[in-house]
Amino acid sequence: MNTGALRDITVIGNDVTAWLVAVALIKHLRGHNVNIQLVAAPCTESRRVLSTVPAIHGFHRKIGIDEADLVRQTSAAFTLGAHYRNWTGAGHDYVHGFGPTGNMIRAVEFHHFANRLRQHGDVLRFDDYSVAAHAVRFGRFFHPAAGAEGPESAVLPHALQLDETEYRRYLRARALKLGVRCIDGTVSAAAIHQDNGFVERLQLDDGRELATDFVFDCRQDLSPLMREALGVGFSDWSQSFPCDRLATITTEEEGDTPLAVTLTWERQGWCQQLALQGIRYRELHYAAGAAGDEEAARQVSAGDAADAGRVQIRQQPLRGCLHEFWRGNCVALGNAAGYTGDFLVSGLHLAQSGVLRWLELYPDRQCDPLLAREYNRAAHEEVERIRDVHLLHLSTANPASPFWRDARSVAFPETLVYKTTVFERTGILPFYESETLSHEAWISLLIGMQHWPERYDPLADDEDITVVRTELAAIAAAAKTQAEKMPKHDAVLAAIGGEAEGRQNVAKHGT
Amino acid sequence: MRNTEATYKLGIEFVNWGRIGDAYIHPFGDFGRSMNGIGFHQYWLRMHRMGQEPDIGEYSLPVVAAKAGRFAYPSSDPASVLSSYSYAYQLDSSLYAQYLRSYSEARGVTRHEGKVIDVSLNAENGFIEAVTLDDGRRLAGQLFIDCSGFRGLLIEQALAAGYEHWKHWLPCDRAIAIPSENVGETTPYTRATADVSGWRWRIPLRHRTGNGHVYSSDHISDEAALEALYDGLDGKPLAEPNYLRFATGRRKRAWLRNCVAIGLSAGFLEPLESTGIHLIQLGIMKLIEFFPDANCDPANAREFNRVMQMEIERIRDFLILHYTATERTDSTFWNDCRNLQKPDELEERMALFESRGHVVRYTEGLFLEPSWVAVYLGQGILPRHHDPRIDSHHIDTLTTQMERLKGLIRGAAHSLPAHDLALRQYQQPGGTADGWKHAAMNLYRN
Repeated sequence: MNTGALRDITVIGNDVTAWLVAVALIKHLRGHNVNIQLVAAPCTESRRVLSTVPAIHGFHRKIGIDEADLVRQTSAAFTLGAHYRNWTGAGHDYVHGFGPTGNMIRAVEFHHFANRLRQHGDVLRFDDYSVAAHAVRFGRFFHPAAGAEGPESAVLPHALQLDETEYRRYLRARALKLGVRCIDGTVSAAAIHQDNGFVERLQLDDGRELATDFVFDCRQDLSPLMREALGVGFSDWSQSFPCDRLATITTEEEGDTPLAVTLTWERQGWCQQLALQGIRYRELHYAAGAAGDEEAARQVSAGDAADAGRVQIRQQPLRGCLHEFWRGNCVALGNAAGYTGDFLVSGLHLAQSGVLRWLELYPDRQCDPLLAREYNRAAHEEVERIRDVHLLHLSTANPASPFWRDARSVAFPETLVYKTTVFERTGILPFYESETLSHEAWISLLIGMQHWPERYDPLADDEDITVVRTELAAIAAAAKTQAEKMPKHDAVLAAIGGEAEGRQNVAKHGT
Repeated sequence: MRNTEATYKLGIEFVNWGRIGDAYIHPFGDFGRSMNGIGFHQYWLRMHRMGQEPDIGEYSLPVVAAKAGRFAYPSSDPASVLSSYSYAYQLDSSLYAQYLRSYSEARGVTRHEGKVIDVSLNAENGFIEAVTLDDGRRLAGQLFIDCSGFRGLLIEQALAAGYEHWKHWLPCDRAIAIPSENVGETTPYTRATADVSGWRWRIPLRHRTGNGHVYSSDHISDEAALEALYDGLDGKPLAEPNYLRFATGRRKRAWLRNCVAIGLSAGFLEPLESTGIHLIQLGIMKLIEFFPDANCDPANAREFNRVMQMEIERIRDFLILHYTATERTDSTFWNDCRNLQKPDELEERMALFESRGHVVRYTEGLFLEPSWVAVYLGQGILPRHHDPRIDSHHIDTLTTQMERLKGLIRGAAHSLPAHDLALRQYQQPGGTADGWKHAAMNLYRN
């Protein structure tokens, strides 16, 4: 018997990240004589909508959450990718789908053929070859839980748009049901062991003390426990990411629920729109120096004076991350670990992969520093690849405003310089360990952002151009047809939501 | 298989590596199966600590089948324990070369017999323009693939791409090879027996057995090495010994300008884990993936070199593990190996396994978790702790589960036909190969 096994694990925090971590922990540690307690400070409910990436699918499966049940209980919507508007220039309109674009032809990757046609003078749109992109434009989506017939392979890689408050409630109910103990209170200090630097006890502001073997700091602000009590350093990225303010608004809007997160270029920043049924949530990211809050409020509410009054403005957390995410017996996740940006991959994803990584390395009370070192190595690799994604977004934005002329001239780390240079020159995508985006997602993103390679694979020249043109036209037509045959997104949501009428419509491939 | 006198291979048996008298098989397959998201070897570790589990190999279908001399193609039913392995071939390399030659000539490759005596480079960009043969013929081309072996006729002698030596990590630099008569049943696995100053291979083919001794010339003479090789043969020698010299390491730039080195010209690792042909195939696949046009943009070459370097270095580290994870003190050679300074990444990997049985995963690279587990445990590296979660299982429940799994694997393995019978069935002209599937570039599953 290993007498050194963890007995008490404490999660600090009360937002989505904290409850999500609590569910993952209890799900994997139930039956192992470990108490999971969560210290919940009072929380203010928001009307934010969270965007996710398809990895959430596997994460939910691992923690025992059924996607259809989640969608039903939280009124979530699906998403198939990101819809860029005016990003690289006025009129730019590109859907980056999570799924593949085209397919390999004669063992050569698809984008080389598209590039060949393009260099030949053909006018083509890369997202025409993506089923997901067509589905987004048609507002159609197939999900087996909606009662429609179809093979598993017809389900496109998808993610969710989640109402932050509802999702938090859902996770909280599940955590409590599985046995997480919730302690209402605010952590005010920590007692650190003199010799090993481990957190021994947490002090609450009402004087209570909690003994603990391990702590997950999942609070909404950069972890004071890690920063101050344990002295962990911070990498400041704010030089590269100028947007430090956020203007948000939630409105009620009828009409088809969009199947993609929309990212729109604005003169002084960018606007992200997410959607739930009947609800639109917009956030304008801008820099305090470049735009006034009033102007931002006007923009994010699209000029509607009544709405403008309801805009919430707030300062973004400082961009960057901790030097160590795990030290001693303490791990920081979510905003407590840092704020790393929000293009495509949000901090929520990092919290998910972080808690799973920790469970894989599962320590005992000694917390061998080797485990923390391995955790930090893998987590930093992951975060750096995600930062590459964010930097690529900034660098490709339309330079038609002073703000963007400045913001887009960010310095790339060597990894991203290498990736973009090799891709632009040859069409070959260097792919690293610990990438969050898939190989094909990178290609879709780079080409969507107008980084067409100068050359294509010469093996794509094997067939006559007319043959290739026909082949590609067929792929585009098939992608369009497949998407057209899917049910409407709202009908799917209604069917999953349990409305008989919706289910019937979907069964008829509702039109 | 019919043309190359090939046999099937389920793994490699390592004898005398951790300690003299030890033996384990590194199989092409999983050990047991992970339960509750925790790797099988963690369960095994606890049972072992309780003194109950001598051999993790009993939980590997390919190990049990190999020891019993049995083989069949893996099942395509993922629910069956007979799907938990993959397989490879043991083949006669000169027959394989002849086979590939006629295969490619039949498909339009033109073979020019001759010896390259001169290489002409473009004065401006240093690209190879042509090679001149000893009979005066000049062969011009846009892309040259250097398969000339260690010499690197083009990549090194003409382009001076540079070579990185790894002798300080892998000290062997010579080999002697000799075929011998087959004795007894043909084993569906290769054997690598550690010797005093190197190791000996034994590869059973249908018509003969290939043998060799890989050794370090700093530690043993050619004569003594030959004697050890003869001593270890289990059948009569069929030819004179063939002496080989090699320099373990990698070509710094395997692709330079319009020349791509594939095979020994790109680097060499001793055949301890039979990775030579794998690296050749990978080189070919990456060349096709990163195929250049006539300009041969250095960007294609850089990415090719980056990927190939990562692959060969990861294999290198796995080989170094075999030499450093040992308690042998019977020779200077093993004392030197035991104490050598490991590459940092390997040091970190081994420390994590020694601490907690954790195997660091990577997405690119040939050897995944089961391989590392096989060698660590097979060579006596036992973690100080196992996953603490295992302790909450009742030992009796675990024992019952493990026994059941062991019985299942034993039963399944012994239901397979004998290897020799499988060879006759599958290889006779018109022989059936029910269940034959294309092998994946994956060691563990088809």
